[in-house]
Amino acid sequence: MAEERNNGHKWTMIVDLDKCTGCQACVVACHAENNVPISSEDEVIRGRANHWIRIERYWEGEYPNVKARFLPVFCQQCGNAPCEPVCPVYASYHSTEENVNIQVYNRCVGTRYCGNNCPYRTRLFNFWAPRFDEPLEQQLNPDVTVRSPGVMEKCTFCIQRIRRGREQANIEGRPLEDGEIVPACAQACPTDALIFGDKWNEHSRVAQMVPSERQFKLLENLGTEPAVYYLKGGETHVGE
Amino acid sequence: MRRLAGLSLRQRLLFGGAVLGGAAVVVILLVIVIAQTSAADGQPIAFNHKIHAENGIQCQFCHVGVTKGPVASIPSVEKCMGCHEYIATDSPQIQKLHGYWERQEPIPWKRVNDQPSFVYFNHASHIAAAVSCGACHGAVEEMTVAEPVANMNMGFCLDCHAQQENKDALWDCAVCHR
Repeated sequence: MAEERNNGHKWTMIVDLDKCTGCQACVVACHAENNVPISSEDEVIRGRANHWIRIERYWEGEYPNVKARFLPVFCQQCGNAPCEPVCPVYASYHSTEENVNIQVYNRCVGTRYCGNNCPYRTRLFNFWAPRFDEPLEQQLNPDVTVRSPGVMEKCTFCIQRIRRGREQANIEGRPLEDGEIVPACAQACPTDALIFGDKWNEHSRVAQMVPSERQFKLLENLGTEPAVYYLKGGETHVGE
Repeated sequence: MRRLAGLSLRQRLLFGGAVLGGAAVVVILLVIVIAQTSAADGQPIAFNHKIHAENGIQCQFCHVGVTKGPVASIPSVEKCMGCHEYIATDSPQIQKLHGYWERQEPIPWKRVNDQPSFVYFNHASHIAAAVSCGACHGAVEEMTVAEPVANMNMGFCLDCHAQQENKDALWDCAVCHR
């Protein structure tokens, strides 16, 4: 389901690894924005930690000259997504309007084929009813579905913010401006390592940064055409 | 019960299952009937849309959110009292309103039109696209009791979306599901 340029938007994220300090503010912001349930310690040990963003940590060098490197990994919103053709009920489908991969929760029957076919391991399955410890249950975002058990979920590029921004621009009868739509992770990032925008809008910050020399994509050789671009850090060898 | 005495255990279990099943069906039917009628006649105040429309009050005067965002909004007690502090104060329904105002309680209106929690509808987008209120809500200005006129399911939404110029954009799942 490769993408063709149309009248929609090509939402794109740039992750500048030179700026990422591994603080995990994006992870927390994502939990708060997207009603991501909190896994218990037991579940985490069984490999069922529920985070839409995970910060992969790499150690470089020998003690005592050790450096920590961080790589935030979330759904890559592939242009040619392996999760889409395997879904028997079209719950995982490609939005031709936003050009991101959408998970329709109320359509998902929980076969988990999509998660098994995702090379980035960014899809998560709800094994249990979502749990939010007090007082977190009082800050659930009303713009996002609280997923029921048996449903797959993943990063959506904060589709609720994308839609809200577009609807607001529509209501006011004006074109959408670059930087108007910011996902929770990019908003929370203290070092501005996450940059979000429409790559098809040539004046956007993202469109101007993508042709960088430092740019690479995760597992690019698979041909998944991710919409997430990483910029190499100065001395890092990640992605080489 | 005496008749049961001669039956085997298997037959007794079958009989008990049938009784329980029958009871369950009755309860479910009752719940459905109650759910369908409660919105219409169970409102805390018998609010009459028709009288208000006849007096030239526009929908947006009370439902102020309808041009601004997703929620059309139910007016506050304060909004009602803006007029009814002086108008029709001898009506028993308006006296109920005064009761809520004096006790500083919100009116526990029962929801008339509802959407499931996984559907995100934006009133303002539809108003901006020149969809009239009546296209979905019917002739509310003629209603003495507010009632849903359409079964607002996915087919109802898509029937209209399919007729629009930007049909392809309006068929995207993410338009309503997030």
